[in-house]
Amino acid sequence: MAEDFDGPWEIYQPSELDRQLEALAGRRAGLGNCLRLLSQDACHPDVGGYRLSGPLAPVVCGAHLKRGYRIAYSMQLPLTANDKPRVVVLYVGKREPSHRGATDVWDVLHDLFDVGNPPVGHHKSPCCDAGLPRIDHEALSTFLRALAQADRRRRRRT
Amino acid sequence: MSTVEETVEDLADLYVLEKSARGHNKGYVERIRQRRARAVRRGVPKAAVARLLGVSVNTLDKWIERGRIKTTLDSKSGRKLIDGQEAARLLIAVRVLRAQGTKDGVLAAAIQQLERGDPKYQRDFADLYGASLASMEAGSVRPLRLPDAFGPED
Repeated sequence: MAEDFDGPWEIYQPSELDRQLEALAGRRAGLGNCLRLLSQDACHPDVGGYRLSGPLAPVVCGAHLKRGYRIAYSMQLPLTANDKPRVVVLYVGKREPSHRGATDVWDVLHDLFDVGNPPVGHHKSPCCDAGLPRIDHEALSTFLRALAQADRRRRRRT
Repeated sequence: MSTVEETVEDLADLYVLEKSARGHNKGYVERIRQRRARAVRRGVPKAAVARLLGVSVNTLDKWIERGRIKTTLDSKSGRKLIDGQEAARLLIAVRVLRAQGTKDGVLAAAIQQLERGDPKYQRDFADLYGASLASMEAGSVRPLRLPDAFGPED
């Protein structure tokens, strides 16, 4: 079901996310439906997007997918008058039942941004209530470098 | 959109690219921009600039009369023309302001920002476009396509 998203928002991804996306085939996580909604409206209420708490709050929104999966995303405004705004999917992963651990989606994401994952008790305020999340050059570069390193490590193991 | 309007759009986009380019690429983009600028060296008609900026000709006239937008007189037609590169810089400033949600007085704000060389404008520009430009330049993010193996519930 190869699909381009043709809503008012473009959906972007880091190249290193390919393997994660491929691994989700057959998992019935509902990622495709979530992305279709985000393409229509990055603040679509049916996505249920919420701000992460702690240091990533200005930068990242998260949303629940099905079967324990979560999506982390940010946004970029249009570059030129002819561009569409973008949702940048940063990570898709599974929430561990213990909410901690080397494979827990939020622990992994905070590690990739090189910031601490705050303790439990997050507010989960709606994603767009205090303006759109924004990712600046430095944060995105740090994240992409770390994601590329993690991807290389994963490839070496398999 | 007329050819002259497309040229001003190109100049605006090239200014944005030039700002983000590094090393040799910066020089290439600058040369392309200078070549495109030659196409509008005689100036751009007011009506074309007004359309590009999304303002009325009357509004543009007001700022020209105040001497805040410089014009030259076309010796053939006697019409006032606006410098193409100034039109492109105004277009960028107007885009940034509109992206920030400014609805009223956009042209006035754009002119003031360009006049001041406002550091806040520079910061906002970097905030608005920095990540997009940097990630585009690096080719590190690209449009997402779901894998072929994805099913309807995936």
